[in-house]
Amino acid sequence: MARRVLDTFSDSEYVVVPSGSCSAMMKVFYLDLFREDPEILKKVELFSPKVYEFSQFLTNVLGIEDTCSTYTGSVTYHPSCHLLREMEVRDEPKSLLNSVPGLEMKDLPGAETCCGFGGAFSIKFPHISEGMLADKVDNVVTSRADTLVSCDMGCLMQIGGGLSRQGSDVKVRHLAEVLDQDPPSSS
Amino acid sequence: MADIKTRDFSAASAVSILDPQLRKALAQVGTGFDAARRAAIDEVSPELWDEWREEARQIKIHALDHLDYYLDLLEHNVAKAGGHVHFAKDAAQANEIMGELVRTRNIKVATKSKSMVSEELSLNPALEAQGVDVYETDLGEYIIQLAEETPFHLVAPALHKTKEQVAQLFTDKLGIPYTEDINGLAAAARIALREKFLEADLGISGANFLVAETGTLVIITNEGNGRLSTSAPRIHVGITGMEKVIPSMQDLAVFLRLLPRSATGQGITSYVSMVTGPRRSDDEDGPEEFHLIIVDNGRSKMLADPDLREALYCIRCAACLNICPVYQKVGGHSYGWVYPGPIGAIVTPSLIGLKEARDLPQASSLCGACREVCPVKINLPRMLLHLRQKSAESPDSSERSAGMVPNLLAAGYTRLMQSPGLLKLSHGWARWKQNVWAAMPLFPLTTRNGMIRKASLPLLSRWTRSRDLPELPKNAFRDIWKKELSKDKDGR
Repeated sequence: MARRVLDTFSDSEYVVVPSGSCSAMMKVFYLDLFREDPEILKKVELFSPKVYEFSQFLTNVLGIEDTCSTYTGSVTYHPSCHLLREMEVRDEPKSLLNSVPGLEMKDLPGAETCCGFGGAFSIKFPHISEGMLADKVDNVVTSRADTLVSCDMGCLMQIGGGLSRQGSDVKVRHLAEVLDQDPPSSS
Repeated sequence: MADIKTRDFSAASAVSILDPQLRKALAQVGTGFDAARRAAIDEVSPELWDEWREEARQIKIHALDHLDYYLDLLEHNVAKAGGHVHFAKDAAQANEIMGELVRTRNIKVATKSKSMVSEELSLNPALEAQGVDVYETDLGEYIIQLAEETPFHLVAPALHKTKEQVAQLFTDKLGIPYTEDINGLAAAARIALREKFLEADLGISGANFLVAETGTLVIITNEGNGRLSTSAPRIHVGITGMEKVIPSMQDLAVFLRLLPRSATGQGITSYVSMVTGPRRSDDEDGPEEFHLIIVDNGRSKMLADPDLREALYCIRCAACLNICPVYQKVGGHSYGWVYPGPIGAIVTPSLIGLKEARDLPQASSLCGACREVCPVKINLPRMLLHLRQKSAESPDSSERSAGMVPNLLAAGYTRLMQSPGLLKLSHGWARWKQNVWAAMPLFPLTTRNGMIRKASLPLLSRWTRSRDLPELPKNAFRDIWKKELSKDKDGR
């Protein structure tokens, strides 16, 4: 699958990914994955610098500070683990959110603690994943925000799934959705 | 070797996660140890802290790259100071060496300050089999010795015990009247142990560091047990893993800055004990003999493996345990052997084999918090990933953690993801199937407001047992892209 990605995007100037973990896989982990394959490693070394996570690209490459979006509501932001620790994207999503008028930011307690998704981990060790999820959901509720924002669909599925199961009204949005013009009908 | 219960990880962790008492105890590691660690780092400044970490890492890299040289130098200097160094290839040999010493020196009573390596060796039962009374003198270790349990945490072995449990334990085993007063309990332990210190023929310790330059064994403790065990008895035996050696006293300094802060947030522990050989002729007291047993027990295998070598840099501070959200949920006993937490998940399969411990590297979301807090910057998540790779690619099926079905699924998924046509077809099929199933009341899908509440289907059921799952949307991104988004402003 990685080899296919390398070929598909070989001519691209930038590869922008709306996911912390997917972008980390491509930018960081491919180098490890192909460490024993010098032919492909050469391709990876050309590919890796082109890979950006979405908020990283907007802020650091396009220099966008304000997406002219509006959002009425309070938002708490969950930094996904690979975005934070592998892509080292820390402030970009928050500064983009802060630029949206009408949007009130609320602190998320224990923000940097993993939500428990971890990919296959969530179904390989569901009891541990659930335990971690319970803490994260509690923290989201404690934040009193009406919207949870993250840059990773995995985290949003996990935390959103937990919130929904609890019957919570908290909305769950990817950063891109909040930065877009208010969509005509949000589900 | 210590009892191996690593195969029970899944079952054991499922039980411990539900234990309200363990939950309370484990909540402490975050609010207690980790918070104290952060405060200590803030006090010195994160920039300086990072400089120290980098320095320490470089020292460890160097020391382990030249381990043979430094072990040689260490042996030379221990001998020069009047001590003896023994190299033990494995647990059996280490216990043999110990056994020989016990026999020839006529040992009846031994006091022990903390040594995790001795747990690897199951040293206590081996000594007891030879008729030696062994007393753990670290209060936490003493408690679990009385309770006949294994350590729950690297630094605080009895973290999981409430004061009520300890009170009952002391009443049962020491015969004291029941009291929940912590000072009273500590005092009772002190009294019980004080006479043992003075009675003991043999004092056993571990080592936090071995300084090659001077032949010195260094232990850091908050209780005086380390000092008493290594100075009162007529013989002191230090038992440690071979990776603990560092080149010089100068090098020791940065580790003394990092270890107490990383472990408990202390600037320095109450005692830093440095032992160089037995008593000298002009010393008033001290052991007549000093022996250092340096144990391999699989470490040389780790040293030889470039993917695993880094794990030998570990200084056993337990910062990775304290930050790990998995450890915080399942606790130390679930890991089934001596070393729990992220470092345990790496060291255990490395030392006892993937056959026994293949679950441990899997039980992580790879969040990376451990690497962030490690004082020697060990890349723990990368090593967990490498162990997973070793496991998946192993020709020995008993080392693989996934059975045939997950492997088939993975192969199928790979094939699917390489073909846009197949992917489109399968999405279409899944959407159609979802509609069909959702229309059937309750089984196999229960949906509400666009969320799947229950899926009585393989794998999906593991998700929906505690979380909802969004339904597949009506329109695939590829259709939206084709119809709307791929046209730029000129409508091309």
